Amino acid sequence: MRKLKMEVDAYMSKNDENYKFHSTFGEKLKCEPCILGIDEAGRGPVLGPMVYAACFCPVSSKEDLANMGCDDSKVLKEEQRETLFEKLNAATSDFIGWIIHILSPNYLSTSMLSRSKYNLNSISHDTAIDLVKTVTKLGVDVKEIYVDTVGPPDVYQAKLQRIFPQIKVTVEKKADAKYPVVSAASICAKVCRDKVVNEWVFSESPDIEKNYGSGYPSDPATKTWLRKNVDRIFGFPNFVRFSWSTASKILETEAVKVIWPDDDEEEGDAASNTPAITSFFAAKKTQEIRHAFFRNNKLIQVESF
Amino acid sequence: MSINLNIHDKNLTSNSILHHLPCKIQANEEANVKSYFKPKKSLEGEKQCLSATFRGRPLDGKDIALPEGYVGVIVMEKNKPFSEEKLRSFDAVGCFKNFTQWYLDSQYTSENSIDMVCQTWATSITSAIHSPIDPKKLPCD
Repeated sequence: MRKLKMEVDAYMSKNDENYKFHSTFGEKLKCEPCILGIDEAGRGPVLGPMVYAACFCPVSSKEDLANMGCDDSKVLKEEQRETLFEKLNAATSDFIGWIIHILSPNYLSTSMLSRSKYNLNSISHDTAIDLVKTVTKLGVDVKEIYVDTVGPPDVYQAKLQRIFPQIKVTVEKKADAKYPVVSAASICAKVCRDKVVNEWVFSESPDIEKNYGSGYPSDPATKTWLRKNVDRIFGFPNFVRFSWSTASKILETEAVKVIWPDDDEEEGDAASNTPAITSFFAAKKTQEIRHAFFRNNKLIQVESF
Repeated sequence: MSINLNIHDKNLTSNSILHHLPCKIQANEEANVKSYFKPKKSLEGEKQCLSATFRGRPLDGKDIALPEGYVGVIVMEKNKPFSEEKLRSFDAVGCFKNFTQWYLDSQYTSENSIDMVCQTWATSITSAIHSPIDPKKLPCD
């Protein structure tokens, strides 16, 4: 594989954290009204980061961007994507700029598995919003944004329009195939994610093999790799998104059981305070309530140890 | 049941690093702590923050020192007897003066009581259990 001009080394040395970086871009993008496209790569996989990218260019250069031959990153071959990324990158001195936010698998796991669950759609929306804000702060005059949707497009569009009233917002399904500026963003995101996944540095052990396949739950190579790399106590290396059911199901059988203080809260509907249906049938626990001294000091009787 | 504690000074010289997690791990065995558990220190304003993850869940940590004059001892039982009446024997394998208490998203935990428990134990309970008893002060029949 050719050496890509994408500096992800800074991320690799701290791959449990998020990392945001952007290309250089010419003065043109600061003095002309610009369009900006947003797309992501690696939303579905159980492995590796989710990468968000925004690509932007002056409204007057729309045609030039379209002529570069950007298309939905999924219909392009890896080599074509890399070639296109290099073309995009070469144009950063002139009429193109890009910004990438790598959301580490560790960040995705801990967000989705925190006490107050932060779901993937909210993470995606917030990341996209942050990208627009960051680009604006860099001095780019963003006039129109095009976003590949996450969830229902009309709801998402209304949300973005409310946050950015001065910008014309377009949220659509398959925007990455319809708008060259979104295609360009999808190529940046995909090329970055592939590079990061291929070159992943396991902080847990240098001996962990990299034959993890595509990282999608449906890929047999990914499943085999997951099963092979279970640690009985810790579960998986932090390259794995623990919040994916593919990962948690493997741990149910291959790892030691872990009980958390908020395990009960997951049953039933927490939002409406409705208890789990099974709770009505279970025998009522009769528990002697001990003196507050014991309860406050977490002192319990131990019969065997 | 009686218990024998074997504590040799040589086992009490080096400080062990202890992590007290907010979950129950249903195992009692050696684990690859060094490879998988990597606490991070960061500054939030002027506050020192400790963070880590376990099984993909976010943990916030706090260093807790044992009360003055105390030392924590880690003991290991090589063979657990089958009968409850038999003498049990524990060997000291390490000691500690402080440990890290980990919370599951501490911002959602209302009480951080482990500090208090240490103090209560040291100031109230141990003195009540271990202080010498003056026979003259015992109630007589």
